[in-house]
Amino acid sequence: MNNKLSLKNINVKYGESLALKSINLDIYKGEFVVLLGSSGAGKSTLLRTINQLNPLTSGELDFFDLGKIRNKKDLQNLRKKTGMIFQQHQLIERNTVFQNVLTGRLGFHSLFRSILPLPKFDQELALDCIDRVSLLDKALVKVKELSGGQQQRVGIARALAQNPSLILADEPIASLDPKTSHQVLSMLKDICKKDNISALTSLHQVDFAKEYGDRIIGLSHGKIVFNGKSDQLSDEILKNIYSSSPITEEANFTSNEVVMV
Amino acid sequence: MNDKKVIWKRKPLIKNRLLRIGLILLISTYLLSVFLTTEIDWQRILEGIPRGKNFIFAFFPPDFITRSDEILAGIFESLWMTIVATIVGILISIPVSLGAAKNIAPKFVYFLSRGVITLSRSFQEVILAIFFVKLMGFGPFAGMVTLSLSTIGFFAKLLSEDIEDINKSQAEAIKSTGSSWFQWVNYGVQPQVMPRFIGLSLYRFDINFRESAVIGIVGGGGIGSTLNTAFDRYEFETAAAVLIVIISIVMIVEYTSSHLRKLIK
Repeated sequence: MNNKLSLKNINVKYGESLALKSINLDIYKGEFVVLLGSSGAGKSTLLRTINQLNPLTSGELDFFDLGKIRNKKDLQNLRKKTGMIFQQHQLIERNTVFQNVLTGRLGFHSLFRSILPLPKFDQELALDCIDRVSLLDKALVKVKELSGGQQQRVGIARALAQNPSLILADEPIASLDPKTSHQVLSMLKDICKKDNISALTSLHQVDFAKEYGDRIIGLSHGKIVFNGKSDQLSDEILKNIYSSSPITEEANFTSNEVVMV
Repeated sequence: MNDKKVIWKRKPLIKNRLLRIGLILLISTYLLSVFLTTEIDWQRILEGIPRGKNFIFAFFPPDFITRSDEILAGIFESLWMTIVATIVGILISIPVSLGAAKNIAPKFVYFLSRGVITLSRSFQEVILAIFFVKLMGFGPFAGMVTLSLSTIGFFAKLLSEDIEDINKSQAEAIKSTGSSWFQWVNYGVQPQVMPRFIGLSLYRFDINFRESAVIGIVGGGGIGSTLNTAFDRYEFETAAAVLIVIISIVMIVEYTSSHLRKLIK
């Protein structure tokens, strides 16, 4: 049926200011899309608008097989099929890896069913996901005892446990060192390709974006200023993405970095 | 160069020198006059000393045997009262504390729940007990109701403050998996407050047992009633036994609960 996620004329207002301005975007099945933009450009807002952790002010979402998202029930189904990976992993730190990954299955069960231990099927699926991020030996360790890279992999496993159509990753490597960043990103991409999951990942590092993105979206001041393959991403365009940042100092810093790349 | 040493002095609370000295004078005169006008009857204190001595000696030797049935019954009643009241109180506290957490509840529910907590906290256990003994008659049932109600004020207040302090982003991730509101509470909020929950439960159990002894004196049953009866009969040896029993149980409960709380952390 419908093999893409479509954002149609999305606007998001924070108070008086527009955080996102008439965003139109299609993401196809199995596509790994990277979102670039300076801090405050609206990357997080865009990601969080798709599963509506941030409410959208106006516009329309068309989500794969679900079609148009009209009501709460649709939204819940959308969230069920959308795994989210956060910058600060946002796992329950006191709980074990296994417990955390299992929460990815919550949406598939009623409240009363989820008070009891979840069925064997879900438990095995969770273990399988933990295995795919190579953390099976840590399955019963508390998350707060893991390293940053491992925690982020737990985040991937949790998203994966949802059997998602889409994974949203909000700067998943922002607090990791370069080597671990490569590990985490390539793991995420491999899994998405294998399972034919679409992914929208916001990143800060242009070289990472070029290496991993099937397609790159450039966001500036809440508007899409670039949408194309990574080899089309010229220095000129990068300047355009970063230079018009609302915070001038940071823009200078970032564009310096871009030149170095 | 400036040779004068500058010594830093703390600034006085009241800047105006005249006002400051005036206030000090006023307060000291008041306190002095209070001391001078309080009548201390040294005669009565002196007479009281031998009476006190007799009273204390009357406790010895503590007598566990003569009224052992009543003492045992009192202990069991108190323990029953404590256990039931703690459980009932906590069960009611859970929804109240969710409602009283600003970050979770809508404004209307928040004020309602805060109201419940304030109401429960505004009456001391003994006052509540007197009321419920009048309402339901003597006995441990009245005591149990009293303790359950005061548990709500204590437990819901402290737990709701802990819920307000949770890491919201950890809980948000649960929401993003498409969970319902109750699942979000159970999987996003609950694990974050669980250690505190267990700690508070044990602490409240401890408090409830001690209160059960006090409540007995005003007719709420339990070991306090046994103590009261012993005094009324002038059986001070039995009263001493009851006091020792109360002290040892409180010590046991306190020791166990603090040990358990350490284990959870």
